[in-house]
Amino acid sequence: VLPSSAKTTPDKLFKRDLIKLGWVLGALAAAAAVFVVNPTLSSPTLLSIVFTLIVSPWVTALERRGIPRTASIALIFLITGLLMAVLGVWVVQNVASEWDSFRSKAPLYFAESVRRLQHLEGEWRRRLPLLEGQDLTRKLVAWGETFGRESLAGVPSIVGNILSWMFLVPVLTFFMLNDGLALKKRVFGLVPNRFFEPTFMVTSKIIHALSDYLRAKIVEAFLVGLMTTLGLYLVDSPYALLFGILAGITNIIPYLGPVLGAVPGLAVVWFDPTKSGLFWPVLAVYGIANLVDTVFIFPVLVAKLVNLHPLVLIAAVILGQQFGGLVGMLVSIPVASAIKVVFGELYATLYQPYGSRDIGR
Amino acid sequence: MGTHPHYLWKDLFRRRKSNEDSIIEALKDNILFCTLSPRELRYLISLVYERVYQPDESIFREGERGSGMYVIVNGRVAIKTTHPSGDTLVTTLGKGSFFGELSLVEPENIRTATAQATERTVVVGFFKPDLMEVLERKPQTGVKILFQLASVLGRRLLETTRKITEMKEERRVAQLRENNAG
Repeated sequence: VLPSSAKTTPDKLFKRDLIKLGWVLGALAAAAAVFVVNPTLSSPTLLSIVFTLIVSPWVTALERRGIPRTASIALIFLITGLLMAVLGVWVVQNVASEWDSFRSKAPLYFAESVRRLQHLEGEWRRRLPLLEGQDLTRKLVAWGETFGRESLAGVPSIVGNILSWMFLVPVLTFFMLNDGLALKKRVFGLVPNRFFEPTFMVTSKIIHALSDYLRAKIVEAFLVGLMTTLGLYLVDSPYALLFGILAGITNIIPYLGPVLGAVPGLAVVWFDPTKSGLFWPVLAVYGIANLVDTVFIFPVLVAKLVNLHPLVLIAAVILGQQFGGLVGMLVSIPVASAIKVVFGELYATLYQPYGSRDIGR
Repeated sequence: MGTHPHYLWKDLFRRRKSNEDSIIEALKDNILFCTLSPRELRYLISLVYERVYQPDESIFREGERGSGMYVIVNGRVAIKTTHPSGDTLVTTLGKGSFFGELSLVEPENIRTATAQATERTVVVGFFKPDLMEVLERKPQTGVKILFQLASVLGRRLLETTRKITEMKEERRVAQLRENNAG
């Protein structure tokens, strides 16, 4: 047994480590603030992080076969680029023709919607005298016109953003894949010794959980999109590819996504007098796609990875919607998973200081 | 900066050459990494973390959750266990030694002793996620490390078994002596 002077030193370096940690957190918060207030910087960076997490297992698989990392990344970029060019041309051609057709019929849908809304309003007025003097349809149409004008005004900036993303995202993704490890080391190099190992472990677990979740959600979205497109083709619904892609994309939003994705497809067959017989078959297509997703795809692919109670998932989505709208809903589950990892580590540290082993303490 | 074509990245992504060499030396002399080729060692240093500890600073404490091992590049580290009566110095390790390797394979990751720098010490940390990364990206390199790790743990098991046998034998002899004296 050592003399008391040689005992494990009480923390004389604690203050130094706290100051260091404060600086690191301050620097990270400042960097995060720059990103939050500057969407032109944050959006492509976030998108690049998503792509990096998706592509990194493929890079690893090529590296395992002895191909150097930079060459692996270049090869994947080349293959993905070619595939996207071929697939993109095909999708754009098809979606463009569907979009043109939709645009030419839009006045018809608009007139029909207004006629139906006026009819509904007339019925409500008869039942509810309170609505007397309220021109709801006119107000709705005025709101729709303003919304449409504002959306159209925003189109040039959206197109500009997309064009800049098309250049920025691949470049950022390439650097993240190639130099991500070095960058990660530099960031961890700033963390004080005392907090290094816990921070490293928690961050590794969070990155692992997020990349698994993202990959699973993308596969899920692809399968739902494919099922919806095929189903809509089979029932001879208009704009099958457009609405199939939309259903796949909106499926990424938990719970509300499938409803949001189904609304345009259902609305078109509802408001098009020539297609009104398709309403129930189209509803069945969305219903079956959602059922297959809920019963088979989600439990097998996603739920196992997230491992959160459905009530927690719903609460996370609602909170996400309140704090960040649509984007908040999209990131709610990954954020909930990250919080779960942090709390899991805290719980293990506070309540299981010696793990599950019986070491006679 | 000079005329390096990537001077913008030079400071951010490049380690100083002398540092890199001393880390490679330390890893090359370590039993876990001694079977790796120079190329594999260079890949490994892109994964490991260099940390500097001041005298009396703890690298980790007994009972904490750990996630990896450390190799001493420079300096000395005291390994201690804590008891209500005080700390027991188990051993003092110097340049080239390593400790905490059990955390690489142990699921609970609980540290069984405290590691404390006794002078200014430079260590290299190699953690479980890094080992997993090596196994995924370069399985041949990962297998070499795992094989060496298994032989280290096997040797420790043999030593422990021998010590327990010796202690039991000593106890048996002591009991015999007591009985004879009685």
